[in-house]
Amino acid sequence: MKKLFLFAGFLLLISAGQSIAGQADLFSYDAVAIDIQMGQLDQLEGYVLNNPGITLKEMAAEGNSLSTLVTDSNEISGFTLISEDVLGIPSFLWGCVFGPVGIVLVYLVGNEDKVETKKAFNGCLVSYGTTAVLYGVYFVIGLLSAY
Amino acid sequence: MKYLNRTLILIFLLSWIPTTICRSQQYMRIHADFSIKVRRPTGGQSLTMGRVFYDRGIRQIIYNLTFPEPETWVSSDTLLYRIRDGKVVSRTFSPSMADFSVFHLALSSHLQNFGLNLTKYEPKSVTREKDQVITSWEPPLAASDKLGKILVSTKNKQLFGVVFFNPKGEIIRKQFFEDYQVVSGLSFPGKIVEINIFNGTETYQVTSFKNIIIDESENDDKYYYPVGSLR
Repeated sequence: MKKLFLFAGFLLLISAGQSIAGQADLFSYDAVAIDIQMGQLDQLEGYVLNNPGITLKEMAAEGNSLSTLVTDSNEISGFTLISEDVLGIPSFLWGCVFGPVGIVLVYLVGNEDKVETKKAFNGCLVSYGTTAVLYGVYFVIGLLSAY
Repeated sequence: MKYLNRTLILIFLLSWIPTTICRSQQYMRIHADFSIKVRRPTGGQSLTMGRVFYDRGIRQIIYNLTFPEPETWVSSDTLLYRIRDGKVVSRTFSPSMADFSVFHLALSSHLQNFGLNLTKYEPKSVTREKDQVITSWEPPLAASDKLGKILVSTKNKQLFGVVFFNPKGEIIRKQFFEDYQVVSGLSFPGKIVEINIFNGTETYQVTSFKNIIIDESENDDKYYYPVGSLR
């Protein structure tokens, strides 16, 4: 019986190891493909760098064909950890994940909306409460195992 | 006993030295030329260029755009102001808190963990694979149905990549930090490649930083924008 448990434990370790191993492969991307995708923008960037102060409107007015490469409005993202796509918006989550900072944010951004701030506060409480409960459980288990 | 006391005092005093050195290496300001290239699966693309300024004490990220058009974008107190010719063109909520920007994290030496150590995310496992150290960060229990885990990879103690998952375990975003430059002792990525995955399609964003200046003592006015007057 002991040998069976040992073998089962061994199999479990191997499978766990396999599920963890291979994560390094996730941290890769096709750099060549992205370079190809960015080729036209690289060309445009080079032109702008060689012509400091030039704007898109001026390029279009001059009939510069490179100006037609820009088809979408500009944006600034990827500079931060936070993004709407990743975190969602609910006030509850701001408090849950970011604690007091999240509550302040919701208060400020929500134009002092008390309802939303309360949701963020509840999120913070749930987060801390869950942590406290878990620690309590671990403490009790620790006590019981001591006896 | 005398010697033990002296030894303890010496150890205590010596322990202050690295702390003092670390404190003296904290950085406050960064400014750099930047360009952002975005390519969407629809074929749509955009290019944004300019100069960015950030002061860790003021916590405003100021983007002085030069392309496509001259504009100033100010990220302050979770609002993003777009200013053209001195007038506010738009004012939008932006969850891009300065504290979690690549600028703030790098200046405050939290970039290695992607700032996750400052949130309620918990590190659940750390593994070493090839030349990477990969940490798996899990969201708080109460938010686990809304947020997925985040994998952070470092190489040579520098942030290398971040992979974001949704609660179903599907990859929704990857970020790679490359071409690190050491300026005034601070290591900062010269290139950030971001891949956003949605419904099987990918959007690519490549951000480049050049001419990085750290802790500039001049141009104080470049690091602060009086947004109060814009309300």
